[in-house]
Amino acid sequence: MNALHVNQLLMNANDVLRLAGAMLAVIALLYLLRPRQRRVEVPFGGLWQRVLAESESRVVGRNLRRLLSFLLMLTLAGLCIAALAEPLFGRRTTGPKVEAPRPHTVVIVDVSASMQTLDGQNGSRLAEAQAALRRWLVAAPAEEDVLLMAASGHAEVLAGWGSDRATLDAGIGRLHATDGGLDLRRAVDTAQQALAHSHNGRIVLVSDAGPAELPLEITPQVAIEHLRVGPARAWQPGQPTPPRNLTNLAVGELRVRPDPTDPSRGTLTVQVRNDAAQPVAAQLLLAGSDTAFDAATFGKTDALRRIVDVDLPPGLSTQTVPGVDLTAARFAVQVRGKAGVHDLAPWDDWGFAVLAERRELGVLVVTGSPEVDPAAGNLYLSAALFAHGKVKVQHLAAADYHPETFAAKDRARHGVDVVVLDQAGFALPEGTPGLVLSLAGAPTETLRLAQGPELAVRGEEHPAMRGISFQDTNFDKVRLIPTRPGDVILAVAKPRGAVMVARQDGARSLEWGIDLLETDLGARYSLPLLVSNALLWLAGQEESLVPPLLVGRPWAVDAPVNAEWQYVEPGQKPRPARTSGRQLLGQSEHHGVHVWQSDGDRLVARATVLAPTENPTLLQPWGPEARTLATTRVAEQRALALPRWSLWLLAALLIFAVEWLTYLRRRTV
Amino acid sequence: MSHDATTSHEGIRDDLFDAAFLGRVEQLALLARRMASSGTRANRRSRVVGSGIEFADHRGYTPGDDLRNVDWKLFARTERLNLRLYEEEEDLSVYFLIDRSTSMTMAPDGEKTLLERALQVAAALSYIALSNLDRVAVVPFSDKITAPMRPVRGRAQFFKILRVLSDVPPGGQTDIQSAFAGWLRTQPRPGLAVVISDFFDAKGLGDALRLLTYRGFEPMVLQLVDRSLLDADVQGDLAIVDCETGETREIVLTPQLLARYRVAFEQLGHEVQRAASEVGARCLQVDLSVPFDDVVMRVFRAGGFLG
Repeated sequence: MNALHVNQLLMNANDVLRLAGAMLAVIALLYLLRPRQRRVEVPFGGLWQRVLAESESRVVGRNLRRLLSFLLMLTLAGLCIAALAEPLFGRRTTGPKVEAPRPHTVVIVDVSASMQTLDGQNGSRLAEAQAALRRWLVAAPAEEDVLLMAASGHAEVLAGWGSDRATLDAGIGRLHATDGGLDLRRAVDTAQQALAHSHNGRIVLVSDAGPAELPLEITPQVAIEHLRVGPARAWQPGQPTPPRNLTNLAVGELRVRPDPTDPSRGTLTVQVRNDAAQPVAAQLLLAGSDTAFDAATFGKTDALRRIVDVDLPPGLSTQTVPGVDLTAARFAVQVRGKAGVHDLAPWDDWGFAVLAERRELGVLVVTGSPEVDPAAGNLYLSAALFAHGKVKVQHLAAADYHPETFAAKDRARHGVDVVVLDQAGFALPEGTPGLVLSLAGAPTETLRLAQGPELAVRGEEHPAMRGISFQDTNFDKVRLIPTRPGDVILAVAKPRGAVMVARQDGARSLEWGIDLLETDLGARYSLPLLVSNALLWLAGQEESLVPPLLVGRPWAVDAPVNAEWQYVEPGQKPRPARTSGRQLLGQSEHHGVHVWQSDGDRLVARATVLAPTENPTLLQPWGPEARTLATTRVAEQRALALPRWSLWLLAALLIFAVEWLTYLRRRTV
Repeated sequence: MSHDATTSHEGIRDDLFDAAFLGRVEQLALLARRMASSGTRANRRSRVVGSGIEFADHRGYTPGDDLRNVDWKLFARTERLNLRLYEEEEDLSVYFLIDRSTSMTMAPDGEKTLLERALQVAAALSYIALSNLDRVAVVPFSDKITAPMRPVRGRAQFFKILRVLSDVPPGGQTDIQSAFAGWLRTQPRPGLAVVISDFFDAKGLGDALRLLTYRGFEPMVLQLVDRSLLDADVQGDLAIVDCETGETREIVLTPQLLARYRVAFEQLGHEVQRAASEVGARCLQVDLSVPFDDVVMRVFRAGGFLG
C-alpha cells in the first residue's frame, strides 16, 4: 500500500456515469427476472381487509421492508461502482482536490553505485542530484502532484503523491546511493504504472546516465525529461534534447573455451546484436575476476583484461577473442559503441560467464566409528560428498592412518587436498587442512555430552556457514569444543558452548563436535551445503561461495499480519514496510541485509543463494535461533493474490445473496 | 352452473340429483315424519278466528265482530262479551333463499362447491316440505332476486323444484339485504324462509333478517362454510383478489397472518349466529365436508323446520 494507488481514484465523470449506467441496467434486469407476485383469488376480500386493518402498522413494516430491499439494491450498486473505482480507506490525496488536467510527475532519482562518484558539483553525483532536484522543485507548479522514487536495482517510493514541498524535500533528503546497478527499465515501468490513470503525467529522470540511454518501452503519452548530473554538462529545464544517433547494442551470449594445451588461456566467443540498419563501430571490454559477479562489481574491480575494437554488422554477429587469460573464474564482456553512437538500452550491454572448476578436490576420509564400514564410510557423509560433485573421495580405515607419518609429499602424491576424520580419534597431520567430526573417544579433548541440544549458527559470515540453518534439526549428542584464541565459533549449543569451530593456524581446519549418526542433519538440505562449504574453505576456494545475487530480484517472507511493520535502514528513519497479504516484500541488494521492526518484534532477512532459488534467511540477532524461510517469488505471489477490488465485489455479492435469499423466502410458495 | 353441468333431458342435473340422491331424500322424508310424530314438531298454526274446530282462546268483543262467535255461556257467568277463538291449520309456505353469488362457487378442482351443496340441501328439504303438504319456493339471490318462483305444493311438484334448482345461475356479488328487499316487494306470502349462504356479505346479515321478520317471515339460517380454503399452504408475497368485486390487496402472507385470518373467519360465523339470535331465528353452520343428508338431519335436530 503506497501512494501510487491514490492515483487510481482519479476516474473521470464519464467513466463513473458509464459504470453507473451499466450497473443500473444490470439491476433492472435482475428486477425483471425476479419471480412475479402470485395472485390468489379469495371468496371474501372483506375478511382479509378486516384482518389487515387490525394491524395497519404492519403495512408500514411491509413498506419499510420493501424500502429496505430497495436501499439494499442501491447499496449493492454503490459497492459495485466503488469496487471498480478501487478506493482506499484511511488515505486521501494531499493538497487541493484533484481535477482532471492536474499535472502528475514521477521523479526517478538514480541511486545506483555510480552516483557515489565524487565528481559532482556538490561532492558526489547524488548530492548534485539532490541540489538540482530541489531547484527543480522550486520551479515546479505549486499544484503539481509529485511522486519521488529512488531507483537502483529496484524502485522505491520515497514521497508522494503530493504537492507538499516539505514532504518532498524530506524525501529528497532520504536519498542515498546504493552499491547496486541501475535497472532503469524497472524504474520507468513503475513510474508508468503510477501514471496509468493520469491524463497529464510526465517522468523526470535524475541520473548520470546519458539521454540516449533512456528505455525504449515508454508510453508515447508520457513525456520524459532528463535531469542529468555528473561531470558532463548539467541538463537545464527547457533545453532541447541533443540529437541522437540511436541504436541498441546488446550482448546475447558469452562463452569461454579453455585452450586444450594451456588451460590458463582460452577463447571468448561473444554473440552481439546491433539493432541499427548500418554497421556500428564498437568496443568489446573483456574483464575477468574471481569475485565480481555483475556489471557493478566488474566495473568497480580492476578486472579489465582487454579492449577489442570491432565493427558490428546489422543484426546478430559472433565475435571471437582468442588468447584470453583464463586464470580468473568469472568473466564479463561489455559492448560499447564508439563516439557518436548512443545506445538506447545500456542494461543489455553485458554478458557474463563462469569458468567451471577444472580440477576435483581430493578428499581422504578416515572413519573410526565401529558402526561404519571403513571401506564405504559414513553413509550421510558420503552422500554429502557425492552431492558436491567435484570431489574425489578416498576412504581409509583408522587402523591404517598414521598422521605422524603423513607427510606433505604423501598428500601431494595421493592428490589429497582435505582430510576428513570421522570419529577417528586422531589429530590432523601437520600442515594438512582437515575436517574433524568427533564425539566420544577423542583423546585430546575433555568430553561433555549434552542430550538433545539445539544448535544455532553463530558464524553466519564465515564462508563455511553460508546459507546454513539448523532450525528444527535434532542433535542427540554433541561435544562442546574448548576454544582457543583465534578460533571462530561457527555454531553453539544450549547451554552455551561451541560445537563447531574453525581454526587457521598454519593449515585451515574445522572441528565439528557432532556424529552424523546421532543427528537427523543428514536428512536435511543443510548437510551437503555444510560439507561443500567446508571443503571449499579448507581447500582455499571459498571465493567460489560468493553468491551471484541477482540485484533487484523480488522475494517475500512470511510475517505476522497483526503488526504494523516498518522497514529500517541504517541512518534512515524507519518507513512503512511493503507488504502483500501476510508477507513482507523485499528485493535483493548487494548489502543483503533487510531489517523490519514492529512493536516488540524484529525481523532480519539476509539474502543468500541456494541455487537455483534465492532464499533469504531470517535471523534474530539477539537470540540463538535462526530460521530459513521458504519464500515466494513476488511475481507468482501477485498472480495468486486477489486484486483489491475483488473484496468489494465479494461484499457486494454477499449482500446481494442475502437480499435475494430473503426475497425468495418471502415469495416462497 | 347448469350450463356446464351434466343435465338430463328433463333439465335436471344428474351430477347433483341422481337416483341415489332421490332415494336418500325419500329416506330422509320418512325419518323426518317419524321425528315430527314424536313431538318434536313446532307449532306452526295460524291463530285466526273462524273455520277452525279447536278452541284456542277468548278475546274481548269489539263492535263489528260477528255475534255468532260470542261465547254466551261465559257472558252469563261474567256479564262480559267475549269471543271464542279457534285455531285453524293452514298450509305453510317454505322459501329456500339460496345464495348463488360467486363466492359460493369457489372450490378446489374436482370438489363440490358450496352452491352445489346448498342446492342439494334445499332439494332434500323441499321434498320433505312438499311431503308435508307445504308450499315450497326456491328463491336464488346474489345482490338481487333472479326469476322468483311461485310456491308450489304437493310431491308431484318436486321435479319442478329440481329443475329450478338445476337452473340456478351462479355468479354475482353478495348483497343479502338488497336482494331480500327486492324480493319482499313482490309480496310473497309469509312463511318459513330458509336462508342458505356463506354470508360473505360486507353489509352483514342483521338488517336482512330483521326485514324478513318485519314482513312476517320466520327466518332460518344455514351457513355453509368450506374450511379447506383455510388450510391452504400458500405463503409469501401475494396479491389477493376478491372473487366477487375484483378488488386486489397486496399482502405478505405469513403463518401468523393466516392464523389471524382463521380467527376472523370464526368471528364471522359468530356474527351470523348473533344476527340470527337477535331475531329469534335458528342458525346452523355446516362445513362442506359434511354430507348433505347429515346436513338435513342437523336441520331437523336443530328444530324449527316445519311444524
